[in-house]
Amino acid sequence: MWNKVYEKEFIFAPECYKSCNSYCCNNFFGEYFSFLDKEAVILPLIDEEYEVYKKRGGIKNITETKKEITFNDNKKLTLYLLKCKEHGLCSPHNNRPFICRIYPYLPKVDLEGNIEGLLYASLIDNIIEKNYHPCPLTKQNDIKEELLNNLKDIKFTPKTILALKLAELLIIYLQKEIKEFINEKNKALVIKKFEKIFLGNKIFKNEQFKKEANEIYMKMKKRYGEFL
Amino acid sequence: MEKLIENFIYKGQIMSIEEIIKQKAKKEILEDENFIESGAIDSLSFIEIIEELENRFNKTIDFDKVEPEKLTSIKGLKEYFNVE
Repeated sequence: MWNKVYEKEFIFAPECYKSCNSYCCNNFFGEYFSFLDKEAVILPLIDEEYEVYKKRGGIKNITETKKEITFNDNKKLTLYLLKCKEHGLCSPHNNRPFICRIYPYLPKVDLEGNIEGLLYASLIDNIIEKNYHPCPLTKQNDIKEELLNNLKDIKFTPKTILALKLAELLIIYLQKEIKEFINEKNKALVIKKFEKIFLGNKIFKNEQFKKEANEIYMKMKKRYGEFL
Repeated sequence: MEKLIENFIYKGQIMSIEEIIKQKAKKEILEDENFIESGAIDSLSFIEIIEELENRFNKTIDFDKVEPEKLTSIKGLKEYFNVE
């Protein structure tokens, strides 16, 4: 699957950055950050994507760290978090991760990997810019169709499905946590809360989140057998 | 409360808080230096450090109650986790 992903373009909008100052590749909330990197955007890759990304040589000047999500049977889903400060000038551009290729959206999938809808690709956009997304592509309905059409011949692996399901769950929990802080007039307060949630790994420590994440994983294990 | 012995096992090695931070740091760090501000530790490494220390000391940090600024130096972390 991942070799195919890296040979494909999912959204064709070569000049879109001109009208938004490359919103997707810049940290527009950086000015409010106290701890998280003011300049970087974080790109998550599951290990099987990371292997293909690395084999192709990756992108220059990007640093990375690893995060493991452990389930009740001690199996782990490994994520690589790439910290990108290239501001849209990444090189080589055709090595950019899946999340960049499908921006501004992220597929919402069922356990079989069928796409049920689209979420926003960035966590912060699902929370703070939910109602007014600065990416011009979100104003074009044909972009959604183009993306869905181009994703049709990609058969998601069980790990990818699990990662997408967990991303959806994470967004739901983040929205709940941030809900009372959402106030367009005080973005600084919302971002501070967002930062604290991340620093303290709050969602991943939430017992209900862990329970639901495990339920998703167990259903997938039943459906696909061992896949982690 | 009696202070804990500072050294503990970290990734198979006996290491102190200071050594863990210094291992992750991109440059030398002083005891009371804010390592985030100085750029010695980046945000993702800081999250990793916090997670490791929470597991090792079996103490969860609630950032709704603790200002993160208090934990961005070796001194601050030692004080929070009550080690020498």
